[in-house]
Amino acid sequence: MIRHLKILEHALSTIVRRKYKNFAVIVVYSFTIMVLASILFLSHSLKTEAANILSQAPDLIVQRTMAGRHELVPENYVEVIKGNRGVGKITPRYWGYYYDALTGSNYTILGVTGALPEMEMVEGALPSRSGECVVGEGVARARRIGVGDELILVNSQGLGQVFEVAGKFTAASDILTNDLIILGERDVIDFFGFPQGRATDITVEIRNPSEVQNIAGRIKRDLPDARPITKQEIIRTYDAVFNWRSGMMLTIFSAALVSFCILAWDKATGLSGEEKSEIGILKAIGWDTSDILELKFWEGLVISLTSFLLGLIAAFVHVFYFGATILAPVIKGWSVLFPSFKLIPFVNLYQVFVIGFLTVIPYIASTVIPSWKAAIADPESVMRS
Amino acid sequence: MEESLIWTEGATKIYNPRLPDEMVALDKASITIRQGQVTVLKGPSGSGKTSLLSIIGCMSRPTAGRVVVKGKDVAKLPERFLTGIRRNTFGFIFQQFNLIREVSVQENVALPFYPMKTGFTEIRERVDRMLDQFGILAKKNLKVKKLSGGEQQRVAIARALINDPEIIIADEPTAHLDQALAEDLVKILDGFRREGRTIVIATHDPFIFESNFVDRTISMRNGQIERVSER
Amino acid sequence: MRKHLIFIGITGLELALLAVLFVLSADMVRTKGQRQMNSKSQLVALLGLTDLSLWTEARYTRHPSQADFFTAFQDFPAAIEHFPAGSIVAPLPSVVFLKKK
Ligand SMILES: Nc1ncnc2c1ncn2[C@@H]1O[C@H](COP(=O)(O)OP(=O)(O)O)[C@@H](O)[C@H]1O
Ligand SMILES: [Mg+2]
Repeated sequence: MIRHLKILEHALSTIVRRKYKNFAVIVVYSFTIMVLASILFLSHSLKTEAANILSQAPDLIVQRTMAGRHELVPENYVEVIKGNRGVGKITPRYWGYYYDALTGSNYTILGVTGALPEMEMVEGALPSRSGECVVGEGVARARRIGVGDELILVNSQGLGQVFEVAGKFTAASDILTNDLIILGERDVIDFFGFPQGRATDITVEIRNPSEVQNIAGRIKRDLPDARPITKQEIIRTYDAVFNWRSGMMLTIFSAALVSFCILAWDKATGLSGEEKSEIGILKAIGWDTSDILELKFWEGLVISLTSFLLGLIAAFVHVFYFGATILAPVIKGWSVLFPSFKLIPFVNLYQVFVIGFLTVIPYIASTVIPSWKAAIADPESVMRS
Repeated sequence: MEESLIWTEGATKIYNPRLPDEMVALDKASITIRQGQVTVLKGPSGSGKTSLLSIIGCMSRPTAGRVVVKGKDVAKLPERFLTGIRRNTFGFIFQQFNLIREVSVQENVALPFYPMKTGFTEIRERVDRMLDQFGILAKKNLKVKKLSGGEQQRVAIARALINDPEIIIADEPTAHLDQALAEDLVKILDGFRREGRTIVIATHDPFIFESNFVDRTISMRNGQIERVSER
Repeated sequence: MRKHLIFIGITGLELALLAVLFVLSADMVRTKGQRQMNSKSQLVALLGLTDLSLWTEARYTRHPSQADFFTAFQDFPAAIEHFPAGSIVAPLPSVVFLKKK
């Protein structure tokens, strides 16, 4: 034990000696790990949250496609779907997108019917009569409006239509509601000018979850142009969207990886004459090959473990306390509205260990392996330096 | 041959064997180093002194021939036995000192202990005692590169002695010293001889091989032993 | 000869800090997180939401779960984000022009 501590001591002396270089390495390395870990923390948290809250999504959604496009669904599909046993409430929905030329952003407009219970995440009230709306945080911010103000939107006739903002979704819910505008169902139909008897899609409640797949199959058979989407598929989507291979993640990840490889390569090829002669000196004064390798192991471990821990701490604080401010503009892409990340800190320890292994071990290897040759050679060369 | 601590028989060292720049640095050298004596390897530069020293000091292996250190044929021993011998038997004083310049005096002298079981406190005590003996205790926390040449050599000597070696090997120890420091060095080496240690010095400096503490002189030329003279 | 103690100390500190962060986060998940998720679940259930409102540049990014493979070309020209290309290639200036105003 004491032997290892002493070798560690000398490894630290070696590191302190090249303090500027090693400090720079630690900074770059920590930053790489921070970016990597931030991506993983962020995506894992979003994924977990999506899986949790979307478990309340409709059991089945029936869309229709025509000429390779989404098409409005005839309301009489409701009758056909009703024919299946095990089917509960069937609701045609009216919703769509709205491009706001004023701010250059896209909103999602969704219609609701009937009296909805009060919701914790709505300040003010839900639309109770025609001409009222509830807006998401992003919409409110883009249009600089709040509860009690007016929201003017241009309808399908090209006429401006005034809605009174009856309520606003709280900022805490913006991951779901950022770009939402909720109107009464009738208002949505009139605003967009839906043709008579057409809805955007149809939600279907299914009493027995194990029946969902069967019923979806039967609907597809009865209505060949329908496209049923099950809740399972919705939830699975978010698993795929936040997969490490998906676009943005992959790009950042590979950039991080490339810079890391450059670092490792630089180390692997760059055993300087000075380092070689030091290995010779140590061997000449009685260090064994294994002691030299242990020294190099410690050198690698000190740098990589320190960077790993610092990077991890920074990533944690960055993602969960500062809303991933560094990453957000990258992930945001070309979206005009983008929710702030007030994430629930779901952490996957397994992921943390994987980052650890993928960064610490290769770095140690790239420190130890290049010195192998010098460590097994005879120390004779030091006599000639 | 009881008192011969080290002996070689036909020791040969060839660098880059079977290559165009093949170099026979040591050609069938057979020598004997006796316990408690001061032996000097003398000869012009390039005559193979360093090659011979590094073979008897277990720093490299001969291409051919036998090298026996304390009864063991080291030419064929596996690496970790050589490590043991280097660690416990020899103390080296190199021509260029070979200190780690960016590290403190104290750590340089303590380094031979690091791969062993000795505790930090004991190391510190022994290093302090050794530095005190050579009058450089006050500088123990300085980096080696801040010291003068003479001080650096003392550090190198202190490091060579810290493990209380039986055999001290010095390669051209006066090459970088002025007259006064060279005299100091001879005094120190003479002190070791009185303590009963065996000393092997390679040099072409007459100041060393003509001084009267030398017991045997081995003259070398072109990698071969030319003559052995005993006082 | 105290550097190893300093290193072990710092590493221990970092580990402790991480442990604290993890424990705090686990706690937050259990209390505040659970509460938030309940109210968000309520939103999802009552409004029949299907997707997170993250990206608004294309239908398939706003409602990825409602998109599919067989309805082709549902993109907004600035919406190449879904592919690695999106991080390298900016949308046409004529498209972003409106936003920039
Ligand atoms: N690693 C090496 N490769 C090739 N030639 C070497 C090497 N080391 C020493 N030599 C050559 O071997 C000869 C003997 O060198 P050396 O033992 O250092 O002599 P000395 O110490 O007496 O000056 C010299 O000609 C030297 O150039
Ligand atoms: Mg020489």
